[in-house]
Amino acid sequence: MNPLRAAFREYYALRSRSIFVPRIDLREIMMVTFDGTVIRHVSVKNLESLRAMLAREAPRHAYYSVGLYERPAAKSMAEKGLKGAEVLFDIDADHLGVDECDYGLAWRCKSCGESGDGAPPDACPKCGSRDLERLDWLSEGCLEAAKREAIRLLEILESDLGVSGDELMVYYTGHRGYHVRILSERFLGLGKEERRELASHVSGLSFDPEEVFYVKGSVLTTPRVDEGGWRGRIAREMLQLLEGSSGGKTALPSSVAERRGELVRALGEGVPLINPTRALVRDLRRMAEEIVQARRVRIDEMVTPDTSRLTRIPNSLHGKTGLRAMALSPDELRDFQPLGDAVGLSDDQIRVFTTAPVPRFRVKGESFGPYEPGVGVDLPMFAAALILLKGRGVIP
Amino acid sequence: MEEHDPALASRYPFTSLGERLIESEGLTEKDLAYDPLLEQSRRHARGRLLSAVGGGLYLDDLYLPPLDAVATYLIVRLVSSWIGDPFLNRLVAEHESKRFHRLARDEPIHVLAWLGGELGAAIRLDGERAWIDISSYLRAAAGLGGPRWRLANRDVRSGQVLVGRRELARLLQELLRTHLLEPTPRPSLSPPLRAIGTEVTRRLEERKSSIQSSRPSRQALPPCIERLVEKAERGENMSHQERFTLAAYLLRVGWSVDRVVDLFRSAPDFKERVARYQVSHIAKGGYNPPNCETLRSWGICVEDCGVKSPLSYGRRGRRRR
Repeated sequence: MNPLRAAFREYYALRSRSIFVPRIDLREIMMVTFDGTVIRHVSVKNLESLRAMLAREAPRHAYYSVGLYERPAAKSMAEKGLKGAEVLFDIDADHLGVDECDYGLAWRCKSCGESGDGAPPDACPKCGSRDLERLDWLSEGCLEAAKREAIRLLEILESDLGVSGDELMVYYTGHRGYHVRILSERFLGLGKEERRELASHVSGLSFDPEEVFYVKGSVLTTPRVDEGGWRGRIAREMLQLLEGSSGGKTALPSSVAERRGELVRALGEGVPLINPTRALVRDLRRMAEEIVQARRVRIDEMVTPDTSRLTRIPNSLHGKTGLRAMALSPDELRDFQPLGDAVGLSDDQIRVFTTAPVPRFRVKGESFGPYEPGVGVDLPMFAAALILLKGRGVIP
Repeated sequence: MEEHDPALASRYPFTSLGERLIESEGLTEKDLAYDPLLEQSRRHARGRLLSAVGGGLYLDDLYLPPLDAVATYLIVRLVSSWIGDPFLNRLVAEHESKRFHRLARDEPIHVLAWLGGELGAAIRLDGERAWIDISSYLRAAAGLGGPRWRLANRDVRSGQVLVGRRELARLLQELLRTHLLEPTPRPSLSPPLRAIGTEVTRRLEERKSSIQSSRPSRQALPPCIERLVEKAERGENMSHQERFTLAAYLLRVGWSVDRVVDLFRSAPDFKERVARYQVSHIAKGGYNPPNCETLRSWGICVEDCGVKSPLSYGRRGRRRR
């Protein structure tokens, strides 16, 4: 057996107790094996069967549905009979546009095997082929950026939607992101449009400053600090800015600074502001927009409306890293370090032969690399797995 | 308590007050079909169904005694379930919920709160305003266009959304509409009610045949527009932004105003005059459909198809062929 698959199997044999899927009998399960076979439309009766199945198959990837079905094993969505679906939010560092996520980027030519650092060039400098593979890597900065989004998402879900604690399931995907599911019964029946609305809410996409700083005739109504949602967040942050800038040196636009007293009363107590200047309205709306931009949660908005999605089984192993798709409590999330805490594979030594440059990296507190392509190194399984699964090495 | 005011059953026959009345009177399908005392209910039910098909609003039966009002409503429901046509169901749901709104918009807030409870929402009063549970809010507001209904612009706290009295009435209209769209088993009907059904079906077919098929070729359409065309064809309720996007896109790719108006003909709230005015306005203004980022923010985008505007998707598609 492929030593990597053997390592996955060992993990599932030893750690199967940590595999937990609520309402497992209503879920569709999907697996991708190490030889690339996709096993779909599987259903299991209970957790024990799921755990046994993972230990037996030792799949490269294992997923479960957000949907709860009458007949999870049926082949088509219509036959499955959707009873309800958890609301899913997907945070993927790839969509955050942070430079740290490009750390360790490399490429390899699929024709001749030549490789190099950085983004793939237009053509292979050795053989001229245009068939080049882009190889990404994991970095702490990139994972931190994703975690910050997840923490902000949880704050919004709690304050606005009133979901927290055991109504939520949060987990690291095992790669570059986080998944958050709302388990609560009252959200299970939401349709596509309603889920889309939730996605646009947390991502601030449907925010409209003209609604929040609303002008009718000569009266400007502002949001108030005791309001909820984006209105309250904006009012509180603006009030802080106004009060913080009372010392004189200020970054406030002059239109805003001139009416500070009235604005403080408007934001604090809801006293409408009379005869606002056009510049004031424009500047307030722009400030509101900036606050939303800074605090919005950058989720993948396409994922949330889709009730037929599957995500990784909590505490299963991710087939691109060998890390655990770790279920976390909101408290655990704050201090969570994926490259330490989510290591699931053993430290048994294994020899790896690199086929592309490997950047310097830290896993479980230990530093590895950098390695040139074409060298043999002895590594603990958890570090070797990263190189192998990221396509930068082979077992000789 | 005003909840037990019998006049409420007359205005809102779909509520538990209506159900209790049916039970206490032991009303059966045979009574609805044959009881001479319910003749005016049969007449009004027929009027309501035909109004629904014709796009009107039937208000001749606003002040019926409770039992007659409940009977009228039951006949409307039974006959439309018996016909079992999804397009008719949407027209009836649209008509009945509009009629509901006409009555509800003038009710005091505590009556609206009670109605909300009847429609499955959890509502808590806060002076002249009310907090509605977020799931019900989302179910209702999903069908409403305009930035003011978007959650991001509202006071939303711990799973509840604050709404004004008039807003609540509008949301309840939507909740009733979606409630009426839930599938019901097909009943068997006695001949007098079947006769109403046959007449309604005939009118329905007439309306359907006036809707010309004006489908664009499928391939050229970006997925978001494709979905909007399907929604329009199925006669589903569309938000203002969805209608604007669809009309602006189609006009830009060369459709005539007539052809675009025809596409909206299945809409349950279709009004030729209004639709023509709106579409002509968009045509005259030469508006472009919104770009993909805006469409994403409006929740209209359905997948990332790699373009920045739905128009460039069309162009690429046309060039390829």
